[in-house]
Amino acid sequence: MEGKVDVAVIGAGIYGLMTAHKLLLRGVRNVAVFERLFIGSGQSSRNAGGIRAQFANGATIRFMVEAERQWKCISRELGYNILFTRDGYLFSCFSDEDEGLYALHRKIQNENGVNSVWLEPGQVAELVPGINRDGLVGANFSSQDGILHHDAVISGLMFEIRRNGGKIFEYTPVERVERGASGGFLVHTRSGVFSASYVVNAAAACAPGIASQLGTTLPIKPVRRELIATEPMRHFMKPMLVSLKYGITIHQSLRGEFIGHTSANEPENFDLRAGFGFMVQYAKDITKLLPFMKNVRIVRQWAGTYDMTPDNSPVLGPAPGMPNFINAAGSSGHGFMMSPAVGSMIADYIGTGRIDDLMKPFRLERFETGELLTELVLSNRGVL
Amino acid sequence: MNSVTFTFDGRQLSAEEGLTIAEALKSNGIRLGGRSMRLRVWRDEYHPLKEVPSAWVTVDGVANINAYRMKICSGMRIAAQTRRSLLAYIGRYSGTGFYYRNFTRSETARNFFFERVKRTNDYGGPMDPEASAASSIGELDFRPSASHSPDILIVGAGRSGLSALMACAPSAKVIVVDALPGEKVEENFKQLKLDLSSAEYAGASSFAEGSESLDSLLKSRNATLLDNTRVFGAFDGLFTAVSGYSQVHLIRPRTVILATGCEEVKPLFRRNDIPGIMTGRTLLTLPGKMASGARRAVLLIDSPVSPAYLTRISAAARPASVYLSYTPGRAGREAILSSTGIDSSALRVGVPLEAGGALRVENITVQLQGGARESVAADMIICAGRRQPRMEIASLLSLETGMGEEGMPVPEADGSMRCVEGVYACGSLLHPSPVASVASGMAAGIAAGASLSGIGAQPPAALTSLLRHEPARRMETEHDGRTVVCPCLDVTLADMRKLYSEGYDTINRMRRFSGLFMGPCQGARCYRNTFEEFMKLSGGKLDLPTVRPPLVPVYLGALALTDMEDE
Repeated sequence: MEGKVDVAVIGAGIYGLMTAHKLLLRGVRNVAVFERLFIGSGQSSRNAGGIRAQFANGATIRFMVEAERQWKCISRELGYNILFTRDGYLFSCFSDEDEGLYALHRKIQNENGVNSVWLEPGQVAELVPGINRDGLVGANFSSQDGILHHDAVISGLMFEIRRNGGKIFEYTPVERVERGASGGFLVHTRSGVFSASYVVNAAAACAPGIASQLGTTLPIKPVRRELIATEPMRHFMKPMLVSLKYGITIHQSLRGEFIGHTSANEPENFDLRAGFGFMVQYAKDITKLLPFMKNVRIVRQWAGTYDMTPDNSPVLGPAPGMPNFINAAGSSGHGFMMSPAVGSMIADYIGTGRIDDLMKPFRLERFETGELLTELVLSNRGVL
Repeated sequence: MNSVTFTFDGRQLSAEEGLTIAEALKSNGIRLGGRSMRLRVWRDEYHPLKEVPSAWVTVDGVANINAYRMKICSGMRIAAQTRRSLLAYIGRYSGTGFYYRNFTRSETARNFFFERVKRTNDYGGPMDPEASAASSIGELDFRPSASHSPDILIVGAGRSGLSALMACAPSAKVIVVDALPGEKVEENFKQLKLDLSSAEYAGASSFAEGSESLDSLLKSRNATLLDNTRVFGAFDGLFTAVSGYSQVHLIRPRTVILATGCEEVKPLFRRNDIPGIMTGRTLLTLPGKMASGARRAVLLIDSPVSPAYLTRISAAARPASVYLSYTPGRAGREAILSSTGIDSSALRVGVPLEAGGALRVENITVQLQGGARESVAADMIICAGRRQPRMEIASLLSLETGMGEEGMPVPEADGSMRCVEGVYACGSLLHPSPVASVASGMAAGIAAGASLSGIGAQPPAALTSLLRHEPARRMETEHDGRTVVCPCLDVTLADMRKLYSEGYDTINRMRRFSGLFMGPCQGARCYRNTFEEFMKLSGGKLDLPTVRPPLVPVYLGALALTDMEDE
């Protein structure tokens, strides 16, 4: 099998699929997506589906506000309901010392278009009945954040891309990428060689391997993270609950299952087996935060891979000196929520050659110039 | 039977002793938990876990007690935390997978129903998060974890697991884990002793020395039995188990014998989950009076089952006739006749079974050898059989086995099977025949003991000659689009066919859209049937989803009391 495509996208995760979808919307018809396993087989179908703009640096917040704006329209765009509900993200605060930091976060967020507010313990307990109020100082809360169904997004994109004539090759790992004639590339896959004018490297934790073949170094490391689901309960907890004290995120899914994770120490590898240490740590942490959870049973635990960068923010945009080789990787655990904006901005770049102002801060060069997108609190405490 | 009196929402009620709260309420005409929107029956009628999650009640002021998990006691004051689900009403017009099908299509529908659906899901009542946790009551009394480091861990105390224990060297420290309570293990033991005294087991009987009772067997083999305990995970040499609901065990064995046996899988029937057609195991979990009475029952058996099991089914249902899809030996035939109490004219052997049924079973059709069909009138069909090996723990250990024609792993020549270093599989996990199951257990016991001492040991020839493979012919069942394949989330066969044609062409894609085997039972009871049906659709292609811990649901309260410091 051989062929010539305009854009070769490596990786059929959320970045790859969103980019392909937005390219097809722009009228770039000859798009091929190459996937090592099956569509959405990586963290795109292993995450919790949280969407938030409550970050702590301006560039990320502005990017996420744009992404949330686009998420609202995705269901209609795909003709497929992605079950996006905006019930908010609640960052609970259990220490007086953190209160100032929370205020600072709110200030940055409010300046950049996020409606986050401070809630008193009584208001927190209204939103999260049963929360351990021992030491609870309050919470940051933004009602514009929410939860969607990641599997629905992946399915919807798959059908829409196929409908619009895009090609997705599953079980077709890319073995080698090299430069071809006239600024293009040759993509060697297991089932043949494709020549492409543009290559989008959306291979998450495998992206550095692709980039290094073209002489670019991506500072991305894989880290295992795990999630747990419980048996279903009637729905009573609206927002996604985050606790920095316990390093926990938890929400109740549409089916009523509680889904969450804790910041247990995890190894830097691609191991996707579930670990018992994590299960125990989660049980200890969650029963402290939400004491009623001890009467709830775990039914499933699974692992995924985070592709971490030094400043916990993705690398987006063309590689230095190679305008036709575009990286979209290293999302560090909040890639899914950024994806519609990532897809449309990369498609715009391929169409017009112009890099969106919102995407500029995420360029790879920032690791050399020192303009890092460091978060104040969240990344240090394992909540990403 | 003594009766107990209790109050429910202020009403004075009484029920038989020994029932769960849910059963006691049911006997008073009060139902907790949800109704299936597709089948229009109460979920507890057919739910694979035999309990509906979050059917919460408040007992004596303590909230969040699952009514299916606690026994009724005299004087209990019970209050419902449940209200009727909206989906019970709109559900009859709704499709598969709980919410996916309807609510992923139209945004208008979503905006209209979604918020309401989300808050009234079908799994019964809300828990009361403000209430104190129910840690002081009975079975939910969580205890700190226990650590064990045995030489040999035997998973399963059925006929094969106990046989393995008999063949273990007395110097080894052994832990035996079984999900059944001690008295049921005792029954297994007595049946095994009885079998070992018969001529068919001549090559194996010498291993039974020093085991007059279960206690003396355990004592002489330096073994501890953890009954009522299920293994729920295997992590790099650490096996985790949970006793009842309350205590986690951390077991680090030097070698492991997997005698997890077979599981009776419910064949797919048209309207399969409705009483009238039930599996033997379902029958055994029902109170005896519901099953017996003036019913004409037909017993269909798909692969060899133990005589003790047959006796228990027959005592409950008194079958009028018995059909086997395989041909047993003479001893096996006699065992079936004596344990079911039927006369030989009512026993048909070697028939490819083809059973049809409906809500009220009036007749079933059984295909006889040579293509002839026979119609039998019955009020109830009991399927004892379609037994499939329980591979979950083996899968966690990344055991890769060649699969034989019957979907059984293929054993090695000596009958046992070493799958990964230090793990031996045996019993009906590998051999459908009861005799071979015992012999392979003993072979595994010998091999495990030998691997500990470093001296190789071959099982005696008399034992290996007992290992023979008895393939059974599979039951063909009649089903249509309404047949439910995933009873937790009500996915039907028609849903699977439709989804496949719409482009959900791998089991992973289908599962993620429909919720197929992602309900509370996590596929424990339905995935084999589901895979089989999927392979029919895809022409034999199937990418197996990963088996993940926990294999059984585990309380966070019990896990929180797990001490990992020793590890």
